Amino acid sequence: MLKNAIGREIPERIEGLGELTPYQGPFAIRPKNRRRGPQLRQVEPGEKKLLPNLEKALIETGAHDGMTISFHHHFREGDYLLDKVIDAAARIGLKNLVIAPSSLTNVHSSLIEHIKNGVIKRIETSGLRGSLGEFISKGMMDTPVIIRSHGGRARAIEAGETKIDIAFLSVSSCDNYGNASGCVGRNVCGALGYAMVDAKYAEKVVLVTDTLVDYPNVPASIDQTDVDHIVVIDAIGDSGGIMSGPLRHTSSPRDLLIAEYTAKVVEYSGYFKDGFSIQSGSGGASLAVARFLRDKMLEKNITASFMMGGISAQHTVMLKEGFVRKLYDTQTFDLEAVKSLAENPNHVEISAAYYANPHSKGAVVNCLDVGILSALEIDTDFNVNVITGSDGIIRGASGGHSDIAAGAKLKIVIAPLVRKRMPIVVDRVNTVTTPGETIDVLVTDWGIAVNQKQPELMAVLGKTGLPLYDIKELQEKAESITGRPDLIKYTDRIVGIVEYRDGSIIDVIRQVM
Amino acid sequence: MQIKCVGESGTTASGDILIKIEPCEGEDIDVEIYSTVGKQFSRQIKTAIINTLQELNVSGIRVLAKDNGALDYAIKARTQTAVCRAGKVLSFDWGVLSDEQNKENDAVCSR
Amino acid sequence: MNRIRRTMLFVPGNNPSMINDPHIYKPDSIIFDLEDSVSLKEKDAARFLVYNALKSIDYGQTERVVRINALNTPYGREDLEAIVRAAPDAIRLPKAESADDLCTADQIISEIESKAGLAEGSVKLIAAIETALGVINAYKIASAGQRVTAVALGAEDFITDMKSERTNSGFELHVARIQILMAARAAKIDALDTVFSDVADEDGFKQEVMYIKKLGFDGKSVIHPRQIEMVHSIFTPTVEEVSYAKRVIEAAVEAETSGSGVIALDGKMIDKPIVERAYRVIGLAKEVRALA
Repeated sequence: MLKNAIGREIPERIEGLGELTPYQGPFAIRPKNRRRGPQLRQVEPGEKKLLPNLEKALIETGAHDGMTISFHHHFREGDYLLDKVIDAAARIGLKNLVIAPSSLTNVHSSLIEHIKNGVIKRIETSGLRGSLGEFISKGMMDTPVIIRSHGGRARAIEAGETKIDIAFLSVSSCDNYGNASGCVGRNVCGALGYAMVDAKYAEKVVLVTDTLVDYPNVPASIDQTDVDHIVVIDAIGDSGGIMSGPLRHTSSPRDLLIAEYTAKVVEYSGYFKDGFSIQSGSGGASLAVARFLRDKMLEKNITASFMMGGISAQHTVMLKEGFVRKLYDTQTFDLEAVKSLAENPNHVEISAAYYANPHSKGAVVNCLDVGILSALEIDTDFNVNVITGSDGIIRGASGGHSDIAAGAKLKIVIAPLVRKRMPIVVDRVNTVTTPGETIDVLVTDWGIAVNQKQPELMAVLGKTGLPLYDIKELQEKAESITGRPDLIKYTDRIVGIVEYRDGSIIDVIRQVM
Repeated sequence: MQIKCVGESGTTASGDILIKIEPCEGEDIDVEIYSTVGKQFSRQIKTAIINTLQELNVSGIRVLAKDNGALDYAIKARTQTAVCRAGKVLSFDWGVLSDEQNKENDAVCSR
Repeated sequence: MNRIRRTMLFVPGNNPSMINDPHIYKPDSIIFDLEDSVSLKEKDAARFLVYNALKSIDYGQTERVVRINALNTPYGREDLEAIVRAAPDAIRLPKAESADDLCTADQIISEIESKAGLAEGSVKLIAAIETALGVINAYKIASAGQRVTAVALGAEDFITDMKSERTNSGFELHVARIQILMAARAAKIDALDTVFSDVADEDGFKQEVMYIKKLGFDGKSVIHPRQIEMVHSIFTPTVEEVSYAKRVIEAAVEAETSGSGVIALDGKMIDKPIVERAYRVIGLAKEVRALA
């Protein structure tokens, strides 16, 4: 075991995953290798790409035991494809597969069966939830899962560390030569930002759609030059699985209080001026931050240059109203936003690599002024956990969290001090996904703590009348409310490793007793 | 206090706890807890329930608790309410809970 | 201690998640409600919950008030037995109609204070006036003893009693407001205005708060934390008001030291009441700052 730069014990190697590099700092590891693309291939005039079903696609693309197949999670809780492909793989007798989806959600609990019966050997993902997360946390897989951020996944794929043999990518519409869109079709999902990386770097690319359209289906998010085969099925997913219906504003006073404090931190931080840029999440408090900022922008007569992140109806309304000039969209969060992506030229789809790959000539996160981030837990060193619950069970996603924290100029974590009886500000988080040295401010409903590494910001905010505390005081306050929780008991066995965006290991997840 | 029938109090809403008390043979207090924060807090939830019951001189009961992150004061309140309901108490003697304690505090202050 | 009561936030008495920490929204007072927001079947549960909350939660500087059930209901008396023992800052007595109502409550509270070993008079009374009779007897209520620290208008019940209709302009409440305010001023206690129930109507709320501040009320009951900031900003003297008040006081001090009977500022004569108001503005500004 080695201790990494934040004091977490990391094994030197893990059976089935090989040597591990401990985390050394947000920009300590410099890339040395080259991009690793797929074998060149010549599709000749007249060749057909359409295949009748998923089994045929697996056979045609040379599926074999132990290979790596990838998926995207743009349909979130409405995804049908992953289950269908794994079922097909099981039917043709494939074993020991590595699956590398951009993330997994509650709908993917059927994977448990395929892990038990040996079809799936290993998983690489951004997130895990529900019974699958619990299953893995209880040590039911032989090889630990790899948790990566969105930028980290794009990096691993481009660097050839995640070598995808076949990418199965559901697309809302496609023509018979492989031009695909997420904005048109029976089941739309909007941006295909995660899938765009797989399409470029997977050895074989199979698009799966329920809406085959006439050639050419352009503008296309994934284009024909990268696509080997196309399969048409009844339904690829349910658009309802990405949030549908009218825009809902939170009325939770707690969310609104946190949002109000956060908006004030942004306002006074020095970054709130004409042309500023911001990423805010999709949670109630995050969306409320954007609404409060909108009022302040109106007051000061300024506009934002761009906003990014999961794009929701609220962002698109601000785009239409002229509060923001461009939206960068990797993943679309509701149908209203899908419509905007299709119609508004200033709403721009980008790949996960463009968004966040650290080993590139500059990802969008590097251009961000303000990042608003969530937390399942945060400790007195500002280390953030967004992957395991307070009970130690995997129930979250790394997402773009550590990417934004590394790239943006002002990184704010927002969270209630106590969630139910759980203290959220703790001595030591169960799992670190984002290192504290990349977090500047914590905003809770009880008050605000500034990282000591930012004395200037502390001085600026100190003059504003905002309720500032040492993070240690907030931790003590939380504990005085909840009582001191009993420690979660873990075994020595490692069930997951958390990669930092640069590929080093920031923490490991152990089996819960 | 004498427990006569089943008494229930509280809800399973966030931050609350549902406490059900029923009489049983013997002098034991049997507590069963289901909690969304059980791994970290079931020990403390149990302590809060048992202390409250002892304060009211209650035994020979079975307690079923369904907790959704209630703090100790709420656990105590729900337990007291369930006990009063199970004991069909018409007029609770509030002095039992507080008067001595207040006087002690007072004594400490004036010393 | 002279408390400021710009906002009194109502919190339903049987809801732990709302009782845990309403003071994070920084109202001047919290009113834990055992009355209208609690169903008849849960009166006992709410009583235990609020009792234990007051005993164990540190609400900091925030004033802790409990609205009990009226003493002519089956719950009011036991509410007092429980709540007084938890030593809140004040009890809000609903539907106060006569000085007798207050005196009865005062006596019961005194008895409990004595049994529980609390200093006599430590728990104050806020009288909620919610009927025509209550409005007519407002001064008698407001002056019914040392314990009474404020009178408050409860509009919904009052409107029902009066057979009036609630309007945005609030003219149907005008006489009641004025009467209650005068009673409070004559008795030298606080006057508190009723709630504004349409949380979504921010403009209407703002208008009403500005209006009752001009009338002379000390504060307003609120039903949602989002309403607090608006009331505070309207009830907090502005920088201009504070600096004008300072100049008035300086001019007064100067006139005093120079032995001149006439106070002048910017060529205008300043009357004594203006000086008094200036002191009040400075006092309020100081108290607000002390709270922040």
